Amino acid sequence: MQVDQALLNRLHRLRLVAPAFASGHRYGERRARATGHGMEFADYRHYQAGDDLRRVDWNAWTRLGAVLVRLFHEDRNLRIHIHLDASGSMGLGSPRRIDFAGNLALALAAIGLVQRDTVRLGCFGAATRDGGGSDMSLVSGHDLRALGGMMQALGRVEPGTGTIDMRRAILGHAGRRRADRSFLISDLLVEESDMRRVIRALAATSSRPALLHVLGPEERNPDLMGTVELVDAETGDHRFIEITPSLREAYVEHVTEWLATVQRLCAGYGVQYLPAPSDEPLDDLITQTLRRAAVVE
Amino acid sequence: MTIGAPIWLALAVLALPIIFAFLRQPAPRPVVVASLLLYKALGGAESRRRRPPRDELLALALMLCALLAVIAALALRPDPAPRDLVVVLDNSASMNATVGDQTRFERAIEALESALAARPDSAVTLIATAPARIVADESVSRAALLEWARTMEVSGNDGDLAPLLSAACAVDEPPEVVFLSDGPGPAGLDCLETRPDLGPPLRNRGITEFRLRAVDGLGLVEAWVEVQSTAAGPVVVVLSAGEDELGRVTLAVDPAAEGRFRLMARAGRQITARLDGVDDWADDDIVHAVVPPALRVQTHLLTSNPTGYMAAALGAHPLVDLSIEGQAVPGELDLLVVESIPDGPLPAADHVVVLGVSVPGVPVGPASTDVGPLQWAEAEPLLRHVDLERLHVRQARVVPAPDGGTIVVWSPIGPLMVRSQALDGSQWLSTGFQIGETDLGLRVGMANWVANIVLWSQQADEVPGGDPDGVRSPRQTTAQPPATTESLSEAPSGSPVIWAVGVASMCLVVELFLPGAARRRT
Repeated sequence: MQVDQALLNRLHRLRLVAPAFASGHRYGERRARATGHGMEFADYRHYQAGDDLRRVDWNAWTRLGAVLVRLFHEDRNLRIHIHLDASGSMGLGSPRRIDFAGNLALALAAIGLVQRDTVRLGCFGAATRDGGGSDMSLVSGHDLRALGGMMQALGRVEPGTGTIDMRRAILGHAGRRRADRSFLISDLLVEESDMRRVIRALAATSSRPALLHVLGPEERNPDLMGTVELVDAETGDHRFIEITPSLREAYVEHVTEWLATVQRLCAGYGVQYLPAPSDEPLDDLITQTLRRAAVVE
Repeated sequence: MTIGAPIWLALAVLALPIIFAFLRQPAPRPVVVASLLLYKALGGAESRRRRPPRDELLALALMLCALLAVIAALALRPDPAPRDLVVVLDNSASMNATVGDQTRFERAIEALESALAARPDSAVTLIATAPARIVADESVSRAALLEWARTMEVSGNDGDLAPLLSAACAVDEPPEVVFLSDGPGPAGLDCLETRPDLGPPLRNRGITEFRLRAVDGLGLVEAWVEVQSTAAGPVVVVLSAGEDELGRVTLAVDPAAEGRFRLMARAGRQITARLDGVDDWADDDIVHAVVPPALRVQTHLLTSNPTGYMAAALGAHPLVDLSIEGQAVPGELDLLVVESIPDGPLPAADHVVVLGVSVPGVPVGPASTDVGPLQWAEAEPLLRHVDLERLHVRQARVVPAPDGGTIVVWSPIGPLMVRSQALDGSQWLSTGFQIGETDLGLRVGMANWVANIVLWSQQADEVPGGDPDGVRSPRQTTAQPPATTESLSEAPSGSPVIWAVGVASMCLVVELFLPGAARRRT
């Protein structure tokens, strides 16, 4: 996979739109539900032994005669999960969808790491250049120092072969703790029943999940005509078919219906659907599409 | 001839390229796609093998079978045997139509020569159509037959060919009938029919009917023209008498139209109807007819007042031969006018006008002096140019309308003028008032009303005058050659040829519906 270093350098001014409360375990710039040390006032409570006397509100004591301590929202970082589909189908297109999706994943990771959010980048279905496994959990980090490791790891990723259980991979990458934000970057070319399970798993592992649906022009409107032998990039299955203008129209209609199905399932499980055409410049996707969709700000 | 003949075996070699093409057809271009998921709904054969051999081989077998069946059909054709020939040569007027630099009849003669040359051993019978007759049979030499055909007069309308051809086709070995005609010919013949090409369809219009009728004795003539055309559109008809143009009118023809015109011409004068413009056949564009003499109306008036308005009006009409009560009644009456009740029965007449009295079969009610304003049917021909507005009616009687009768004039008290038909077919006009009971006699409408009654009395008679000259039948005007057919040797039903052609067709149809047919053709 090729990493676009220049793109990463242009993303420092962006930050991910966070949910109301961050759930990270490190200090950060997001308000957490937990109270403790922070800048934003949250509530009062009666003094208990051991409380820091600096938090006692003496004005309240003089007016009310009760010893109250001030509570503050803690400032934590976000927990961000990025699931990258590196199955065989992502190896097609020009540019390859795996390159596009990998750079998109790195861009999201970089945006999070700049804000000191905890980013966990997972990749499934891949075959690494050094012969690594086809389903691997990549690096995680909470500052920009981790970005280099992520770039190196993704640089070794090549699209794998065979079919994968995307749902299991997502649940495995997510771990036990729910993420504040999670992104699935995939073409989602699976059967509808599997698609439902994948989206459900994505929704279960995050409070604000999003699907970045990577499709190339080869899928939306293939430039095929005449008799062809179609070969499935993942399964290797063959299908002889004669593509006529009317069949192409029927295909485009079918793809439109299929996309509507994906969007309907996402809406049903509360997953934000974001189309990510692989032929669209990544700059435009991040600074325009994702900004309009309130993913980054 | 058998299928073992070298020429048919050579044709069978055509199978080799088919087999070669099937075996050497290029494999479809492989295209790697992200997933077949999106293509599954579009059909197509899913297979891990490069080519589905069963479909291909079955299609190959079917195509070879079809090829062999076609060769067999060609090889098993029966040899043509000499057959009697009946040539129907159309010599009606429409064959004078010009196609290119030839008339249709000249093309028919050329086709006749070709037909005779192609069948040197056949016995030939030549039938003309106008009138329908046998011109020459097999006893006449071909040279004489051709000479007779070339000198045949081309005019008139077609006769009835059906009896001649039915008899010719009723023999054990029916002849081949060659139609050299621009008409369809009789239907249902049990003969092999051939139609050589006599040229493309024409754009023609023509006058198919032209009649003249004297309306009155003063020169008013009614002309009736019918025009037909092969194409819809406006047609201008010009009526003239000698050098004098009497009028012209445009008819919307689709594909036929008729028009009725009134003009002034004396009896015996020739009137010409001509279509303005040119078309492919000019013979039917102009016709002539002579103005017939006006019909006189034998009229008898039953009245107690021989000097009354009605007597004066009838007596003044130029076409009325009037006799008044007390005078001898002519043998055949065209019009009987009853103003008073006669002592005896009414004389028989084609048309009867009863004015304000009760006669057997047409009673009227009691007289009433409170008649009120009149209303009348303005489209009624008997009241053409008759204005009854503010007609003063001193007294009148209600005329009951019989079944099928038409109320022509009515007032608040009931019908006052009724037109009806009696059981013997005579036409009746009954009024509830006499002329003297109104001021109708003082009006211009009185003369017009009487003229209308006289015209009404003329209509039962045949229109005199000779047949117009130049009128063609609609068939002649709109004749178009039917589809051309070539002469073929008749294959008897159930022959091996039919079976072979059927098998070939079936093989091709089955191959067409095999899976992947479109891919194979690509």
